[in-house]
Amino acid sequence: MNCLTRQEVKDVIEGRGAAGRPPILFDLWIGNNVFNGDEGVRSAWLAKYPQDVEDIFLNIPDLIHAPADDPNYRWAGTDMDDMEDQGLDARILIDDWESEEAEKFFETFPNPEYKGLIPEKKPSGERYTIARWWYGFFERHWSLRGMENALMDFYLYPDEIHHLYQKLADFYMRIMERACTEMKIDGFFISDDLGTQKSPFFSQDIFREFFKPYYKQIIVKAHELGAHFWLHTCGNIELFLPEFIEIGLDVIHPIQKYTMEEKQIAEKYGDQICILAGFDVQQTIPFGTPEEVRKEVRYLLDAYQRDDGRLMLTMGNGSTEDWKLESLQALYEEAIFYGSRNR
Amino acid sequence: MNKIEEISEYLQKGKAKIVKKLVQEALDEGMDPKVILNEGLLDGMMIVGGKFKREEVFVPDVLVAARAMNMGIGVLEPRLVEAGNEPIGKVVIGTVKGDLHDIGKNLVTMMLKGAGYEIYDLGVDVDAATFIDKAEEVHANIICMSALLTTTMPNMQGVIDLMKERNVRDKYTVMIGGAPVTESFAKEIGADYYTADATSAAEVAKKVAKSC
Repeated sequence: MNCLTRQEVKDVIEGRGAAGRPPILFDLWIGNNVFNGDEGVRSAWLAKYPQDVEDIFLNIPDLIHAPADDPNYRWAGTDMDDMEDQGLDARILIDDWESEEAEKFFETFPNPEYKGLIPEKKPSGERYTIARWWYGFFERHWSLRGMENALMDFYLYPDEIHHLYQKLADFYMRIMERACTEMKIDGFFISDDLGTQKSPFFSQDIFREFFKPYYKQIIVKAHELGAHFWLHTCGNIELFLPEFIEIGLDVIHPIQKYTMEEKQIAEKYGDQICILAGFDVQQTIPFGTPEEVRKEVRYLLDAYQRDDGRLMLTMGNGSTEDWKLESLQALYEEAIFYGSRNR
Repeated sequence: MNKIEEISEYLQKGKAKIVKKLVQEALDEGMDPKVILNEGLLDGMMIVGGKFKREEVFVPDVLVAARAMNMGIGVLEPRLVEAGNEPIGKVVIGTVKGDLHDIGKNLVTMMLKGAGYEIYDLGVDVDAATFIDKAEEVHANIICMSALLTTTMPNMQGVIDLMKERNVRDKYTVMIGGAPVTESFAKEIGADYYTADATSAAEVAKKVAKSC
């Protein structure tokens, strides 16, 4: 299947013109769990369709486990047991910011020069390429503190959170430099869920104090390196979107269905940022029919498609076992067919 | 502003230490612990819940208010026991089997506590039998289930099916919620209530308590 060129994708992101169809990136979120864990079957199935963007995951530190050649290349400052029986958002590595463990955490912060950061298998460089890592600022914060502590930290421990976020920004900026030195990277793509189903997790004041300055640093760094910056952030984040645009965010994902209204977002912001529209994975893909999938594709394209580009298509989030292949097939077919109309 | 109003006001601002101090002062002045609880702490928490529902405040504000409420209740608790204070009901709550997401369920827990319920939080990854066994053990009024994933939502049905199998379905009100959960899904699986947010869950639970 023919893929779009690097330049075509860049032009779409920067609003310099739509390609023959919107870039299609569904494959980035379709895992082998849809294919009974068989990577070969997955690759063969996806090869039938466009994969307009190539991706590579940087080997950022694990939460608890360090590699043999660098015992500090992990987020936990001290040895800890796995906490797999606890809620994802309830695991607490740093119980108290005023404790020795917190000091140890900062003292043993992972070194961005770790040689294993860049995966051995490099991207082909033939297509637009993104370097990815998950857990940006808030997600890394709550993975260390547990969600409830993290959310209260903005009120109770503001100095510590500024310290943490600056350390993270410094780490991220250095790994971005290294990625661009060692590979041909066109964009960085990170995750940081800042929204819930109804509203953002926190206020605009908290966003402005704790997020905007640090996001600005890493977005500016990406631009200095000649790369775009892409952000995955689930939930309703419309409150923050104008200020993300102001600090230069290039691509926003997914504009989650049922949390924000697509046409309204397109009208307000469609000419200022590239929308990586995430197809609904809460209802349509797991529970809908292929015809409902096609209808939703047309709805998204009608809402977002513009003559100057600024639209790419992907899934709203990672695959789960209940995704149906016939629905994914309908998704690809309709995205290509309807996305190419009048082009 | 009287002492009770002050307790409510400072709770809404999340000032836990001040709330704790004011509750102690109120007790020392001979105020009824039930009045301090209901008209001070729980009233303040329900006001925060209302603001949260209207999106005037956000999750951190609810959390710091709940923290203040818990500190106040900590001071009150021995006196409430002496006074024979009863909760308005009992809730067994958890995130269903296979699902490790916690925060939504915890917010509901805080708001239900603020509504005057005694809470039995089973945590995450809770199987059907555990929900029912705990509800039977503590004579709960409500079973609350949370799920964030489309793949774990069906496990809510599993709990209801097991309740029917054990002939206990009618003993409990079943409430469900979570990002992918909908009203129609609640109807489909035979749950009594779906609520979209923590405050709505507490409002429904209060109505359930009144109807018991």
